[in-house]
Order: sequence, then C-alpha cells, then structure tokens
Amino acid sequence: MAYAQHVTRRSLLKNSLVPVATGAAAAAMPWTAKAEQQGSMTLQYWQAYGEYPAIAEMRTRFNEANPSIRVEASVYNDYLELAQALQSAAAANNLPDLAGVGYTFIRYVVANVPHLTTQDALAFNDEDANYLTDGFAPNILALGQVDGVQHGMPLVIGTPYLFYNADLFARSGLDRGPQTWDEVREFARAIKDATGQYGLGISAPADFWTHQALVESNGAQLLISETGQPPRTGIDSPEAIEALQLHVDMTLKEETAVHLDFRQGEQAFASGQVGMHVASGGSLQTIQLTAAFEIGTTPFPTFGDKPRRVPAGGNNLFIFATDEEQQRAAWEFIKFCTSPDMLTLLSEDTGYIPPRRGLIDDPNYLKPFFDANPLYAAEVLQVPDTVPWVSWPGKRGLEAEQVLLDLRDRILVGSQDVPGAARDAAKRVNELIQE
Amino acid sequence: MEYVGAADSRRSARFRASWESVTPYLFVSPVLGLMLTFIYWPLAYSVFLSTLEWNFISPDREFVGLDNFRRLLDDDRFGQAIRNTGVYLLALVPIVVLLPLGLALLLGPIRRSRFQTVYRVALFSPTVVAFPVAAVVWLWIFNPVGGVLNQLLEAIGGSGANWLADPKTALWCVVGVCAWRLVGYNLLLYLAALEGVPVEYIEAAAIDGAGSWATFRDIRWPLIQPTVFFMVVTAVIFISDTAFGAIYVLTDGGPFGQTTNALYYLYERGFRFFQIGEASAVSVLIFVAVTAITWLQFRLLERHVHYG
Repeated sequence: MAYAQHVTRRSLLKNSLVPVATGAAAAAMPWTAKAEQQGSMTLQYWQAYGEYPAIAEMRTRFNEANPSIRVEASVYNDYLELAQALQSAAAANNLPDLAGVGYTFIRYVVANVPHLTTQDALAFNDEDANYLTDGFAPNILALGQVDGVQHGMPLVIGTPYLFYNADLFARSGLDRGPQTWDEVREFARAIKDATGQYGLGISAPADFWTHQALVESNGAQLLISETGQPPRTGIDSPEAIEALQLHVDMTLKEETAVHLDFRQGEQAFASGQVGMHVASGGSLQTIQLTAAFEIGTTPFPTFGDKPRRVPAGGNNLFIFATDEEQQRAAWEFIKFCTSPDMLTLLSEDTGYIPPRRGLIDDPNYLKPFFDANPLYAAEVLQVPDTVPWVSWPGKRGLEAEQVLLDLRDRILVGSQDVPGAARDAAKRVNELIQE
Repeated sequence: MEYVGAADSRRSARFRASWESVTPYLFVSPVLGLMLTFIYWPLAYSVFLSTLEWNFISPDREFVGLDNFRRLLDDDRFGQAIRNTGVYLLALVPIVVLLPLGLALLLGPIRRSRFQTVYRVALFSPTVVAFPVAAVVWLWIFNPVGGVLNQLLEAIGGSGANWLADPKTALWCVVGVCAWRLVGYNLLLYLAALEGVPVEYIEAAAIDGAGSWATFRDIRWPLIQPTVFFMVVTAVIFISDTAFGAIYVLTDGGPFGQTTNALYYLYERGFRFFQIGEASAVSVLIFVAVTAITWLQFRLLERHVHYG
C-alpha cells in the first residue's frame, strides 16, 4: 500500500517526539507542585450530607491555626455513598486520611478497613489520656465502640423525635404534643375526625432507624449480644410485635396514619396535610423552609412508663492514615473538631446535638442557642436516652437491614400479618448475622 | 551472478511488506488497548470474581465455585428481580418503539413549522433532565397525600392510591417514568428517519392515489426499518439501565423487592451489601442473557429488515 512506504523508522521516531515530550512535561508538573508544597502536609477528609458552612469554617480555622497542615474535604451525599467510596478506596489502597463514617456502618468498617483506633490515638500525647472520659458521656462514647474498643470519635448526634402541625392541632382541640404512643393514637384520631387529614407519618428512609426507636422504646432489643452466645435479633419479641402492630393498626385499620417514604413524608407534612411526623432534626430544617404553619416538637413518645430509647444518627471520625505524622495530624484535627468552640459552631449551624457533655447547658456555649430555638429542645431532652444505631455483625450483616425494611413495607401495606412477618424476618436476620 | 544491490532490494522489500502488514494493527492498538482494559479484562475478572465469596477488601477470600450462582437460584428476591425485568421489557419495548413512531408521524406535517423547536424541546427534555431532579417532581406527583395524580383522580370522581408503597402499582409507576424518559430520544430518531424518506416516493404514491395508510405501509415503513430494528435491539439492552435510575430515585427497589430488576439487584449485592462475588455472578448472568437475546433478535428479526 502506498501510504506505508512513507512510514519509516526515522519518521516514526520523529512523529513520536511531540507526544512523548508533552507527556514528559505533564509528568513533571506534579513534582513541581509538590516542591511548592514542601513543608506542609495535606489531610484528605471525607464527609457526608453536604458541606455545612460550619464544617467548612472548622476546616478553615484549623488550617489557619496549623499552617503546616492543610485539611481538604470531599463531600458525599449520604453515609452509604461515603461507605461505598471507602470500599473502592480500600480496594485501591488509596484511603483518605480520615472520614466521618455513619454509625450504622461502624462494624463493617472496623472489620474490613484498616484504621487507627481512637483508643490508640490517645497515646500520641500524654495529656490526652483522659480526653474521652473527661468530656463525653459513656452512652455517647458507645456510638464509636465495637466490643468495648473505641474505634471512632462521635462527631454529630441526631435522634428521631416528633414534630406536629400546631395549626391542625388547634383545629382539632389539641394544645400540646403527645407524650406517649397512646396519646399519639388518640391525637391522630382527633385530627382525622376534625380535619379529615392524616394524624401521623413515621419517616421511612432506606434504613430501620426510626422503627428501631419504636420497637426499642417498647422494651425490645433489635440486636441481642450475649457473652458466649451467637448474636440474634429481637424483632420477633412480643414487645417489638406490639410496637409494630400499633403502627400497622393506625395505618390500615384506623387510617389515621399514612406510610410514605422519607422524601414523600417530608413533603406531606410540610404541605400541612399530616398532623404529626416522626423524623430527625435534619428533616426539621428542610420542613421549616417550606411549611406555612406553626411547628411544634416533642420528644419521641414513650410506651407508658417504659424508658425511651432513641438511636443516634450521625457519624464517627475514623483515622485511616498509615503514616504516623499523618495520624498525629488527623488526631489533632479530630480534637479540634470535638472542642467546645467547634462543636458549638457545628450545632448552631446544623441543629444537631453535640457529643461533648455540658455544652448544651453552658451559657458560654450552646445554652443561648437552644433557649432561642425551642424546637430543638425536644431532642436535647432525650440525649440521656440515646442508644447506638444498630450496626449488624457478620459478613452478611449489611443485608440484615434490608430484611427489616422489607418487613416494615410488608406489614404497612397489609401484605403480611405482623407476627408472621416478624418471625420470618427474625429467622432470616439471624441466618445472616450468624453466618 | 547476483548483484550485491539485489540482496539489499529484497531485504528492503521484505521489510516494507512486513511493515505494511503490521501498520494497521499499530493504528488500532490504542483502541484495542482501551477495549481490553475497560471491557474485556473487567468481563473476564467478573467471571473470576463470581467464583469467590469476598467483599473486595478483606484478606478473607474464599473460592466457592458455582455456589454464588446456586445462592442466586435459591434467593426469592433474585427470582422476583428476574420476573420484574421481564415485565419491564415486555411493557416498555413496545411503548418506546411504537409510541415515538406514532408521535413522529403526527408531527410530520408540522415538522417544518416555526414551532418545531418548541415541540422538539418539549418532547426531548425528559431525556436530558437529571433523574434526581425529576425524582423530586415525580415523588410529589405520586404522593398519596396531596399529590397531583391523586388530586386529578379525585377531581374526576376516582380514588387515589399510595402509588409507590402499594406492590400492585409501584412497578407500573416505574414503567411510566421510564416511558416518559425514553420516548423523547426515540422520537428524534424517528423524525430523522422519516426525514430521510425521499419525498419523490411520497409524491409518486400520491399521484398513484395511495392514501396515508398505504403510503406508510408500502413506502415509509420499509425505509425506516433499520431504525426500528436499531431501537428494538438497543431498547432491550438499555431499558434495564433506565429502569435502574427510576427505581433508585423512586422506590429503592421496594416495596419489598416488587420493583427491583436484575440490575438493581446487582447494585444491592455489590454496592449496598458489598457481596462482590454474588454481584459478579449476577453480572455474568445478565451478560449471557443480553447476549443471547441480542443474538436471537439478529437471527430472527434482521432478515425482515429492508436496508434499501
């Protein structure tokens, strides 16, 4: 062929020079950039649920106070997306230096992703020996523990509580939020009779968080871990079945409650067509933007005199850096983020509860904020009732959550009765977590 | 006696001949390299991963042979996902192949009007709107409390439903959203195909007294068959992908797996539960199924396609 005659070794070499030279120049550039940053260390920090101004401000202040360390953040939509990114990063041996891991993923991350435990990080400085016990309550520290070892540092805490439409309440002759689930049932009926609107919606996200609060507040234990025994679930206990049956009866028999997914639930309550909504403080911020009615809040209702048990949503700060200098820098950043000043900044921006004890009642920190924002008072009141969000053990633990979501959906559309569905779910969950 | 220069000429000729045979491969080697790296290697590696029980990062990695495939056959949720995949295909392939054709024929007479940009944008915009953005609107439309659909039904004397929570209606909501998303793109393809039919043929048919139906049946339809065939083949391949997007934003596969398709099931296995072996087994099965269906389509349908 004619064209091939013009391709010789000399012309091939000559024509390759340009791309090779360009490639060499490009390869040289990172080295140039590295030379400019010599003397400073960069920490990669991954966080979920958007870039709150307070978190950006925390990074800026830390970077200013520590000129030799620069914290850069990558933001993910939610804790699942962050966990997926950690999975890929671990496979590629390219983990960030630290990340905010959702509480429900703690067991998976502890079992599979190499990290420096918070407990080990305390050893970096002698003065840090009592850092955890001095500043944080045991039930809060438990959010970052697996089998008694402090793996992560709790950063933010959100628990489910009840919002109500004060205008619908007034039209129904109600002047306060319900304290117990018997009152929820009674108030929902009153709202339906007086206004024709639904009385209750319980947030149904892609996890069992709000329903964990429901069943555990009635005395059930979603995950039962006893020494010498394989872990098992208590979703088929009489207490759990009773709690779930209440929700099902209100939805299907009395038709005073409506089963909606997380986003539709927010839309429905914000539009003023549902009297009460059980969800997190994060939902409250979203609803406040669009609701054209007065909102009231009350702690998660109890079952009579039984203690309230509300699982904490939020994240633990985990150190994944392997270089000791990076680990020390990451620990300094964690201490900075969990300092009274920074936690105050974070709570004021997000409405979330700080993990450090004493800040909420301290007039120098968060007392003025929570006094001025009474809607958050309900969540403050239930801080002592905070329990860990269940993180399922075992190689197939993550699948157990899906079994419970299917249970929730089956019973709330009437596809299966509560006791039968709970028994089937318990059998499957136990198979998964004991595998 | 052989001239010295003759040996040089023969060597030179041999070099030129071997260079000519190698040069084409050099030109395609970058693309081949990319295909090997991003298509064939992952395919082969998926087959290997399907024989393991592994989460991709743990040092515990166990060879289990065909156990992952056996586990899939025992999983009711997988069976449900396969059935749902079949429903999506049977419902959506006719919709996304035939409905755009009907719309294109209706729009034909006004295709050169000054409003053509307006209707093309209106019909094509669902294809380009990001699914998460559209999801907020669709969730509101399907909301049983104050949602647009229930309000419309109640206004005409009907009754609403909990569309996305009810197992009887959730899957059909996903079908509807997928049809909304796919029709516009295929409409544009049909408009282009119909535009390619020589106007002289249409005029000649009109002179011979052919009506609209005869003109469509005997002239337009044969000439757009390559486009129709292309749409049928690509619809089968890509409907699962579009359905995945709708499932992800509207139902998370629920209620209790009633809207999950094979692709969403793969996503759950691989990216929610981190069961890479099982997810890879699903991907192998999907690959085999799609290849088989595509081969059957070429075998059974292509013979009927008129390529002009």
